[in-house]
Amino acid sequence: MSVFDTIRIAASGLTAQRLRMDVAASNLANAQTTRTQGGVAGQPYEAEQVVFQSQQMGPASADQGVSAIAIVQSTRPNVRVYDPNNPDADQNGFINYPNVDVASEMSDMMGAARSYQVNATVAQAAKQQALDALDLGKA
Amino acid sequence: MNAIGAISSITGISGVSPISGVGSVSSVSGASTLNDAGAVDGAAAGTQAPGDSFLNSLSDAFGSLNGQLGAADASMNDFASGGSADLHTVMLQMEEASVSLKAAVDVRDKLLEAYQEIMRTQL
Repeated sequence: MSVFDTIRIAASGLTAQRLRMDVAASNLANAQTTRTQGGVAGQPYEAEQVVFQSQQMGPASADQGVSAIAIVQSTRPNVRVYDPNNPDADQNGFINYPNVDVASEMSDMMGAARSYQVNATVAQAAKQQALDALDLGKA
Repeated sequence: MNAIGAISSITGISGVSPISGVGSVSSVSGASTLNDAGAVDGAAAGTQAPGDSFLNSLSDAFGSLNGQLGAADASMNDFASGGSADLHTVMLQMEEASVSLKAAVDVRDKLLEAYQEIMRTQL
């Protein structure tokens, strides 16, 4: 297992957490979106979630990186609110708001930020290890 | 690194005076060290015919280093011109290239040190 494999594993974690952050940002941005792009009225945005899978990154069995294999839509029900003045309300005056739970998206976002930090620390430690090995050659 | 010992076993100073004289070194542990660092794609020194193995490994290492520097350069360009490259991918690629460069420079320093040690021999 070369030191570059370690760095690549950490890089896959960084990419995965970036995507998780993107999805959280998109969910938070669309927390009040009542229609999707090019879609019909009354069909709100659906909250999304990333699915991660481990992925072989190097020759050793320990070389397991991560990759995002899918972005799935949440199964949580939409929030129905009575708001007859909204142009997207149905004939009974109810409007469907997205199934985005802002509190859990916020905690997901903080989790993504911390996990990104962890993977960056791993990459830095692996690089430092390589530099320490090179210092062995110094007189 | 046993380069110093291996080179000093060469008989006759004239064999060492051009830098190509280093080619007669049959086994230098620096080559396998570079291989561990991922900088050498070619075979390790032990599996090649004695005589040219070290120079081959060295030129493989520099070829691979050149590739890494080129890749780092390309992804930096991609990022700077608003491409899809992730910032961390660019940074880690540059770090990989810089570690490889440092390994190559260390090997060169050791070689020069060994060469100068020979050249300082009193006649």
